[in-house]
Amino acid sequence: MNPRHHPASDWLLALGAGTLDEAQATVVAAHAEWCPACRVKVDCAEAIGGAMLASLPPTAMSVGAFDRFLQCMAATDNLREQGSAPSLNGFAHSGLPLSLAKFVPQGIDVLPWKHLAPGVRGVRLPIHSRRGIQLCLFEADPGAVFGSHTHGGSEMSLVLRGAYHVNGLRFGPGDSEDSEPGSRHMAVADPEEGCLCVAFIEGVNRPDGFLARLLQPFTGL
Amino acid sequence: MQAGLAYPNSFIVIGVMPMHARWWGRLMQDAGQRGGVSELRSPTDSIGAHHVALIRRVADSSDRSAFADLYTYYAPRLKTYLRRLGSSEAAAEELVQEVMLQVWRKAALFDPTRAAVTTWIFTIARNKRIDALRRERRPEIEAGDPPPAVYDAPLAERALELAYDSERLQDALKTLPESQATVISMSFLEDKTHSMIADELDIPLGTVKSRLRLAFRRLRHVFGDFA
Repeated sequence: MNPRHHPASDWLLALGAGTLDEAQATVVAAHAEWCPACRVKVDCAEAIGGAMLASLPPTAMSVGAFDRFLQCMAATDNLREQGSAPSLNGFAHSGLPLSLAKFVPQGIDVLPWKHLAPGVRGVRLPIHSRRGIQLCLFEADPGAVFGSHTHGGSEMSLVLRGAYHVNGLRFGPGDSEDSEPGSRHMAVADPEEGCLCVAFIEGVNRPDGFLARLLQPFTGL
Repeated sequence: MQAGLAYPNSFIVIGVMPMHARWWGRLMQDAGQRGGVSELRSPTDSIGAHHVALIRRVADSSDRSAFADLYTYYAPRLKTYLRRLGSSEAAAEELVQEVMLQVWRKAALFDPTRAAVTTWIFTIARNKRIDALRRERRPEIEAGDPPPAVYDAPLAERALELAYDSERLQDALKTLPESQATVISMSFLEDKTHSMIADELDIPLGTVKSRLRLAFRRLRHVFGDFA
């Protein structure tokens, strides 16, 4: 089933433009792997980038740039690729979206999970952010409550497995929830399945987002 | 076309595109239906189709004159793109060379049913730049291939739209209202997050986001019902 909750289109535009931080790009791209409608939007954003590139005025390359290029090309010509493009669709063996799987090459079971709240565990993935944005996984047992807080920075979570419920809405696999600063929040893991989610968390100066607070023990925010 | 000055003369040869591939026939048919494209090397409105033909020649026969044409067109534009995003003169040139090397190496992987050549090259440049920024911060991590694009093989019809409409998209960009054009340009060409745009223009973040969404919706209309 295709996801029903999508990132706002400005996130997809920013993914295509290449301006998202690594943690943000990972979550938004992981959603797009699940969601054909959002993939189309990312394609369009990239096409806009292509059109902008073609519209730019040229800046002269330095004298001899092409000759240097040819030398480099000759030196590495054995690296040319043949054949058709590999399929970019599908998930890694771990069942995670490819954009996320590269950060957990050994699977999620071996990660140093930490207890965060009754029935809730989390782990921060090792990425370094230009803008202090963290990428975290969290897992909740059936019926576990994540809490109710005011958001500080922006956060986005993506359900990988199971589901959670918030304000009467169900977020299942592939669904993303975009939380603007200042929104109120109360999430409950699905009573039968629990949930596994990935999220990015923008720390800013007020670490009171619900995920930020939940994950505070190891984000150090 | 300043970079052309650096070419050995022997590279400036106009080749003839073999009409062997099925997609190529479809692209040309599509071009014909849009009117005004009757041969491969016709002027501006067929730049996209011409570049597809050049990539094909690079892929099929390692055609260096075809590649030289692509380099002449894209290298100076890529340099502008990277300079605007904050790369130094030297770093921008280095990245341009890396991008064009990727174009040479991966020409066989270019799929004209997925994207226009300019879009494909844009994504390579975008990823190379992101990769370079990450390498600066994490020298211990080897530079790998950029993360894969997230799309799978799209419907051929939609793809033809995507591949073929770069020129129409360029026209549409020019017709955006000033306020929308500004935020789009700052997103793509200045590496500004939405909050940074809001700060710089002194408008609320929500306004930046709504302008971007409006502009994006308007530009997606170029692709008709497909997007």
